[in-house]
Amino acid sequence: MNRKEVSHNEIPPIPGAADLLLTTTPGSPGAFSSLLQGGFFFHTRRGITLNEMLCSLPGFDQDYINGRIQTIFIDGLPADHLNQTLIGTSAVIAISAAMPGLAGAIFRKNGVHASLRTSQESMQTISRNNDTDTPLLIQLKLFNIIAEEKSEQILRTGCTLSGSSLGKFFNYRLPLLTHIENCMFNGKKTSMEQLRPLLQTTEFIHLSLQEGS
Amino acid sequence: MADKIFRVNMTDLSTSLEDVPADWAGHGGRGLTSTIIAAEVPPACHPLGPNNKLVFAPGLLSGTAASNSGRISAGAKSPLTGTIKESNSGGTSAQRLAKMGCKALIIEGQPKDDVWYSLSLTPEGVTINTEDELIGKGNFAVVEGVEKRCSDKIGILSIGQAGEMQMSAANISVKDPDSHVRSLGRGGLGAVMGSKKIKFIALDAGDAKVDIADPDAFRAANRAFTKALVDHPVSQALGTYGSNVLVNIINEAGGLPTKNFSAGQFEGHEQISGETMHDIIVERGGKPKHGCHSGCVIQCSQIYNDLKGNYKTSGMEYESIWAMGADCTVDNLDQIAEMDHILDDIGIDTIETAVAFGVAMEGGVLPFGDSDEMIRIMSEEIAKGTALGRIIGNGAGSVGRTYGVTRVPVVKNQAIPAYDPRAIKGIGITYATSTQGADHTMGYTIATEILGVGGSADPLSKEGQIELSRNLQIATAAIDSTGMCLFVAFAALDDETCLPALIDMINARFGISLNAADVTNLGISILKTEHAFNQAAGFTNLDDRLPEFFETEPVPPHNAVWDFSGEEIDSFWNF
Repeated sequence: MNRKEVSHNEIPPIPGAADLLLTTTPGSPGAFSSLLQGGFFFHTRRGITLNEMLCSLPGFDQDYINGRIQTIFIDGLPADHLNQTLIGTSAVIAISAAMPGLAGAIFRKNGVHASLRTSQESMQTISRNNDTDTPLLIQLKLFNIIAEEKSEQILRTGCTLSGSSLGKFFNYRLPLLTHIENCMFNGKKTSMEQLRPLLQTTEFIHLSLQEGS
Repeated sequence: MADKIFRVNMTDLSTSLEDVPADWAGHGGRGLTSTIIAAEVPPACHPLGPNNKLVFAPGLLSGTAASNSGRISAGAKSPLTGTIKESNSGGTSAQRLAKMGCKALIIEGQPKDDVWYSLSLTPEGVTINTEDELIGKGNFAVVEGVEKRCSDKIGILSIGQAGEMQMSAANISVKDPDSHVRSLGRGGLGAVMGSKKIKFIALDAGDAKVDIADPDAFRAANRAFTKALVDHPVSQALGTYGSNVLVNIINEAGGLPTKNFSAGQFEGHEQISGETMHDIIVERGGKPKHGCHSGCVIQCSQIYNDLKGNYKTSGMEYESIWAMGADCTVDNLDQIAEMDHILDDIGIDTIETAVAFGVAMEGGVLPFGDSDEMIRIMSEEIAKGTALGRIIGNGAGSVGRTYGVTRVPVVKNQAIPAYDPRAIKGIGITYATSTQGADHTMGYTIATEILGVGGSADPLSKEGQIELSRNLQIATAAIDSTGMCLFVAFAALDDETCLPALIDMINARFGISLNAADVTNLGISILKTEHAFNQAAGFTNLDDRLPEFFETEPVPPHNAVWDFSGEEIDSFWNF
């Protein structure tokens, strides 16, 4: 991808995910940006690099990925290289801007204090299965400024969340419900009171936000 | 006007203004408090007895227009750790002290009777007054009462009930620009102030200003310094989310101590994260961006309002939110804000006290996650000095000893904050070797290369890790002497103009010509001075150890353990 070329790709839903369309009051989709700190899910091909995966996301370009994303975790372990290949059948990836403190510096991508990390050899990592042809399931968490700058576009485009995560979010951010004008769950108009119990029993939900007029 | 040492003797209630000894002239902040404590306090003295001294010192650049230079240092022999102690804070006091020409305020002795006092400082000197009205009150009532008596323009240093009762976790509060409080938080210095029977110190600098030897050079250096701070991405993150931006990151790394350090990830981390806190603050009309002292260009503080939109607390740091949150498995920010407010009012360290609650939960005193009971104990037990309140108010070690808990996360009896050393080894080295007990701010992210202390060992070896940690502590000790907020470190790490500009400002302020090597030597001197004091107080290399459970209990999810040997840790002091 060209450094300035911004991706407008859509993120395909997880097969079997319920469909949820929320219409918000004007100007309020940005208030939902921290929803993606819990991560959203999508499938991609195994063997893709971290950089290729990020470039495929709506609103991301190479300059942004190189400059803004300064802290990366893959399955809880700090990552330094964007050309790292993603293997196995699933991965939890978290991306963040540069962080404060000695800990922030230690975890920073290619940071000068990276030597103060606990060595990955002494940490237990998840086992990888490379023997199947199943696609790679990514859970991508957007933290801090990355979430503020990129979540809104991703939520407008649509992304798949875990139902329980979305339910938890509405539980601790109850005032946000007042920003929701209309709710369509699997194509049917639904009240938020009806929706919230459904979230707890639905594994995946493909959420799209649209702004009301 | 030459700076003076303001000295107060609480035994005979005398005061004096003294010339600054030549040996102290190049020091400020932590460098000066530690130098004075080492010179004048018998290392083996009781921290709450008449031979301990409480020293306040502004930084070398405090009181000037230098960005982020409003930190005040307080020092004494700590009643919590028994070591030398320096604690620093924002607020308005550093600038008031510097402007009135106070190089340091030294409080010594102890009243023989049971009378409480206050101190009033002006450029002319110190006045000692008896105090009745505000005794037994919390810090917010003290600030309000003193401002009514004097003026809202003055600086105030005060203690709450915890300091009056000489609890080992008691802190000293520092009035901020909004007449709320910041804290000289760690190590129980509020108990030392209480032992000297001083409820508050009023600081009235009037119209006094700090002299600058070369104003043009100072302005130029400050411009470069400020630009480096403002432009840095970490400053932007701090200004948006505060230091609580770290919750998600440290949780992701498996280094967020949870349920009294029995796990490294907290299921409720999203509810207490910086991202969530930011959104709640905006939703309720608070301020996500706020300075703890005038001249701060990073503004990592915030004003947190309650559900009704009324002020609840300000300046909640990551380490405090972690301690009251993940460590006690509390996932409700409003409850954490309520606790933060109560602890600020009582005047007790949020980290030490909350970690003590975590140990108490492990010991069965209250259930994990019971924030209502935590609030009750804070208000009804600690504030009133009941037996349980005093056990918790004397810190995590006190609770562990009382209730027979073995998983007690302390080093030199001070609670370990916010970063599990099994998952983040580099911070563990700092915790073990710090001269002041477990403290995350002792080895910060200073550009060691620019100061010429970059290290020569293989950075991936344990030898290299210890060398880097040592060099970070040396550089941090030097920065702690300037009055600068440690958050300048991030710009100093990445922008090659930042640290030289800081040194240029010190040179322009005093008409001297320090270079990077001088700054490094200052840091080395401070560390060695503090270490020598501790050795004379009876501390040995065996005190530079993490608690045993870090070696024997793997922390999920990565199941890492602490694996530095005593011999490896001891090499820290080979310099």
